[in-house]
This record gives sequence, structure tokens and C-alpha cells, in this order.
Amino acid sequence: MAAGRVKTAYLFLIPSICFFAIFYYLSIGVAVYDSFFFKSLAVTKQPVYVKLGNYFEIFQRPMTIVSLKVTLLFWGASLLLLFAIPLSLALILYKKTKFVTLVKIILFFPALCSLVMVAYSWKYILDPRYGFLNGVLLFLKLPTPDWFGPNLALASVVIVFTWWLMGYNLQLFTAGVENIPREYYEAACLDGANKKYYIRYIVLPLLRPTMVVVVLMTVLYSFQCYTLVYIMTAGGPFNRTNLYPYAVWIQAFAHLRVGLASAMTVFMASILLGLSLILIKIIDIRVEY
Amino acid sequence: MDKRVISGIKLAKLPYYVFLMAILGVVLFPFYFMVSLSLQSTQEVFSYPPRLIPGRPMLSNYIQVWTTMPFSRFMLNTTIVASSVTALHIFFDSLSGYVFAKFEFPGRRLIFNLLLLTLMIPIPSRIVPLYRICQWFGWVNTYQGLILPFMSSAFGILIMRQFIRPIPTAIIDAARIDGCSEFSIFLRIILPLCKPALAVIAVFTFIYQWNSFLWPVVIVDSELMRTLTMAITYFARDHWMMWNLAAASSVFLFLPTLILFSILQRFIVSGLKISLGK
Repeated sequence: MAAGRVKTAYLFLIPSICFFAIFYYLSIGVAVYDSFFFKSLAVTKQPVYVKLGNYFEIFQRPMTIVSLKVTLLFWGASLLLLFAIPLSLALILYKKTKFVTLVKIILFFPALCSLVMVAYSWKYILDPRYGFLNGVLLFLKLPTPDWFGPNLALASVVIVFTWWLMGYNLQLFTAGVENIPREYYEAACLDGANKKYYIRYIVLPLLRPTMVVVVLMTVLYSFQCYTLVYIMTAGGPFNRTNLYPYAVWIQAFAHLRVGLASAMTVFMASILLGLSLILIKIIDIRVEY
Repeated sequence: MDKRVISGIKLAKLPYYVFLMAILGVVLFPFYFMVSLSLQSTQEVFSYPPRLIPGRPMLSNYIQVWTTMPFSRFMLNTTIVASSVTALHIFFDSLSGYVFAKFEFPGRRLIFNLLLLTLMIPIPSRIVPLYRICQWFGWVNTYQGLILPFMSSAFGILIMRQFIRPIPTAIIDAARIDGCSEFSIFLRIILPLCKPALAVIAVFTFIYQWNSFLWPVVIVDSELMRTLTMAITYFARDHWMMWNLAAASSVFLFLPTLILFSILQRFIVSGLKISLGK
């Protein structure tokens, strides 16, 4: 009987194992292999073995450093906004009235949209010369900044990204807050705790697992931002919004340089792997309470 | 249970509502603007300052979207891709989640850890090799190429495992004793019990696939295989954009997700609650 169950388990897992083996592990293998070649996406050209040439090229390009810097800035800013705003909203909108539920549903609307649509609407609203926002600012006799200029372009991308994902994180935090048993609040009240104290010492610590999920999901979704960059700024001006995933995409599918793009991919994947291993270490320590 | 007890920062009523209205305004304005744009004529779209209310609503824009390009074909492509991926997700995520929740077998830890590791490999870091693999399989410009690379995810399997674990093993054993086959235990007992978690996975997968853009752009180059999101970029010419038509097609893109979300919205919070809980 037990042996039969082992067989069943393997049988049930075969499709998934094949899936992850091909589309994740094999794809990493292909990327590593390709990264040692000078290779074009066009099938007709013969690949040339260049050893670590592609990796040297990554670091010789000043653009790489710029795009890494920009990516870190983007991550930092959007994580901060997408953590703080939904968390405070979830704590403010704690009541389960019809009105609050409706507000939360409406706040989720942006997350239902395709980033293509989001990018185009905000491009129209923020357009420095013909855009709606600057039209209003002009009417109010306020300065009309160039939202896609060198100084503000990245901030614009961060704001649009935050607008898009805020409601999603709010739903996650809401679920987390609603998971906290009512008894904890009653017990805290009996002990004479006020609300501030209750949030600081009971709600926030108990929300830690939710916080981890929020950070993880935000990071995962942040890779989607290159749709925004693709449509709103195309990486410009002066590479100020040239996020790293977008730079890889351009190398592969605009310049057709698969070898270089694969090397950039491997480089990004190793950084991510390192970061997530560190993150897991930190979480392991902090989840125990 | 359902009366909320956690109290937020104390605010006098008025600033609280003003603040909420401001946030709602910021969130809703682009939607209003999209609908308004979709009803404007070409001259109005390029007038400055931009118009908030169309002079004479041009419903013809909505028809023009369907006639100037194979819009129904794009709609069909997106529907096929998004629903197939969702169906495959529901089946394979729950099947694997069930195995990891209820079976003991050699190599279980290893396989599970290898699975978790894939969470750290987001699409952009796979997009180039993924294209190479699909090129190799001859999947460029096909439904297989659009669907199969996304038919499961570690996240979905994780949620299902979390959800199935508390289901009493006694039910499964009882079914076994009654002579139920392993597969029909999964199909007839486990799957029906998983509805809330499956609703969460279905909604998020469907919305994600419906809206997906960068993979279709990479894998599709023939006109007939394009998806809806790519249709919107159709209206962008080099320095000139048919904003009203782009907005009208955006409305068509947005409505299905809105309807789906409105129907399943009750399940989402409850499903998320269960998935987040230990």
C-alpha cells in the first residue's frame, strides 16, 4: 500500500517536474550556455565562442552601472511607497462597513488594468506639453514641470507603478489584519492597552508573515515595470529610466544580441538568488514569535 | 469574528472622509479620463488644454476599433490564452499541492526546495532563454508558445499545499478503503474542498494573463496571433497617437477583468485570508 502511494505521488508530480525542469532550470542552463557566445537572435548567423567576453562587456559599459543604479532607486522608492501606503490604509480602513468595503474594491481597480493601458493613460495625463496635469497647473498659475525630463522621469514611473499596485497590497494587508483573532484585542483591552499600543505591540508583530508576502509580491511585480518603461519613456531621457530588465530586453530583442543579453540575465539572476537567500535567512529569524 | 476590532489612528470624521475622497479621486481619475477620451473626436483629443468632457460623445470610436483591425481575432486570442492558462493552473497547482501536502515519498524535501527556488527566478530573467527554448520547439507564433510556459507556478502550488494540509487525512483514507482510485480521490474529494483557494488562483492568473504584454510581444510577430494588449499599441504611430481609439480598446480590455473581479470579489479576501494564515 505504502509503495503504491509513493508511486502515485511521483506519477502526480511528473507534469509539474517536467514543467519546472524545462521552463525554469533548462532556461537557466540555456542562458548560462548562451552567455559564453557571441550570438545573434537571427538563426542564420553562426555563434562564436567568446569565453567570458560578454561578462567583461557588461562591466565595460557605463550604461550598465547607470541602469543598476536606476533599478536600485526604483526598487527602494517603490517598495517604500507600496509598503507604507497600503499598510496605513489597512490600519485606517479597519471597519467592515459597506462604505469601507466599497473603497477597498475601488482601490483595487488599477491592479485589474493592464500596464499597457496604465502606461498610455498616464503618458497622456503627464505629457509635459499637452498633458492634463500640466494643463491644470498652468491654469492655477503653478510651475509646470517636465514629468518625463531627466529629473522627474524615474519618479513618474515610480508613482504610476505605485498607483497600479497599491490596491493589491492593500488587499493583502487587509487579509492579514482580519486574520488576527478578536480575542487578542479583548485581552489587550482588559490589560488596559490603548489603541496605539495595541497596533504597535500586537498588530504589527502579528502582521510580519503578511509583510513578507507583500515584499515578495511587490518585488515579483516590480519586474513588470518594464512595460511602463517601454511605453512611457523607452528608457530615456539619458538612461534615467533604463531599468535593468528593460536594458536586457533591448539587448536581446532590439539589438538581437542574445549572448550579451544572456550574460546580463545570468548576472541579474545570481544577484537575485543571493538577495533572496539573505532575505530567507532574515525571515527565518524574524518569523518566530 | 466578522466585526472588525482593530482600531486605526484616531481621526476626526471630516479629515478622514476628505482624505479618502482625495485617494479615491486619484485612483478613479485616470479611469474617467480613459472613458472620456474614448468618446472624443480626433480634434478634441489634440486640443489644448485637454478636454474633460467630450463635446459630442463619439460612440463610433468603439465601432471603429473593431473595423480598423482584426479586433475580434485579438479578443479571441487573449481569451483562449488566458482561460487555458487559468485552467491548467487550477489543475496542476492543486495536483502538486495535494502531493506535497498529503504524501510521503523519498526526495520530497529536495523537490519541494527546488520548486521554492523557482520563486526567485522572475520572468524577465528568463525571457531571453525562454524565447530560445520556444524557438527550438517551434512554438514562435503559436498558442502553445503563449500558454505552456505559464501553466503552473511555485506560488500557486504553495498556496494549494497550505490550503490542503489542514484537510483531515481520515477522509482520504476512508475513500481509499472504499476502493476509490487515487486520481478520483483528488478529483472528487480534494478539488471540491479547495474552491476558495482555487478562486484566488483563478482570478489572479486570469487577470495576469489577460493583461500580459511583454511575453506576447516577444513570442508573437504575425498579425493573427496578436493579443488585445498588443492591439492598443497599434494606435501608436511614431509621433502621433490615436488616443481616442487606444482609449476605446482599453475599455474593451478592462471590462472583462472588472466583471470577473466584481463576481468573485467576495472570495478574494476570504481566500487570501486562508492562504496567508498558517
